[in-house]
Amino acid sequence: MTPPATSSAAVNSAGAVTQPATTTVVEFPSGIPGFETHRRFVLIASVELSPLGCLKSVDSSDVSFLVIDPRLLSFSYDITLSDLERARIGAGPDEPLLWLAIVTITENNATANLRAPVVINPGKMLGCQVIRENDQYPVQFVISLG
Amino acid sequence: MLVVTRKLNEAIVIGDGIEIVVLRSGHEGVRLGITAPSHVPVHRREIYDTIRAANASAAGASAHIEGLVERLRQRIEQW
Repeated sequence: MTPPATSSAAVNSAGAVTQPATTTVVEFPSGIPGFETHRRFVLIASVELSPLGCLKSVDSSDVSFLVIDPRLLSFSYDITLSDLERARIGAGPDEPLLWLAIVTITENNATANLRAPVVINPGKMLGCQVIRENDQYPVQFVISLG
Repeated sequence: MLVVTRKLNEAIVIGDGIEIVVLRSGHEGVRLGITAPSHVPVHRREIYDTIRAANASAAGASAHIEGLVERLRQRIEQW
């Protein structure tokens, strides 16, 4: 397992210590649909991006996704993973998982993909994008920016 | 493309551990049962394509957002 890499705290011109951004390498054994050759991503969480995070490919500097906790957008958000899907990220039945919805920014709005969330098992640093066959949650959930 | 004719309950096997069996066939469509190893995700083509397209546009858009965040950081540093 790759140990989490943490960037050091920076001191800005005013002499104040800024919150360090934490990055962690997560393995995606089957890639992400459309980006199958990208198997390793770092999850960047920083105060500056919050509440967004950034899932950035280690295999190519050009590929990155903005992500958000889907429960911030839909409070009752609840997707159950099958045992097979849990096995894919090495997770047992009660293992806590990290859920992220991929955010798309367009000129006029922002949407989050609630139908195909990225699920990460922090214990094993394994992740995958699960795709729900039913349409309970939309692919383009509009994030109100007003 | 390999084309095979299958009857009800007949199957085809793909590689090691993937099996597709015809469960029902009628006017509304063909119902298939699929068995595959856990590391092989199985999806309807149209849904998979929708997610692929959504991922592609999300990855494209985040490039200029990173620039925006960078500008935001510079602003924060100026404070």
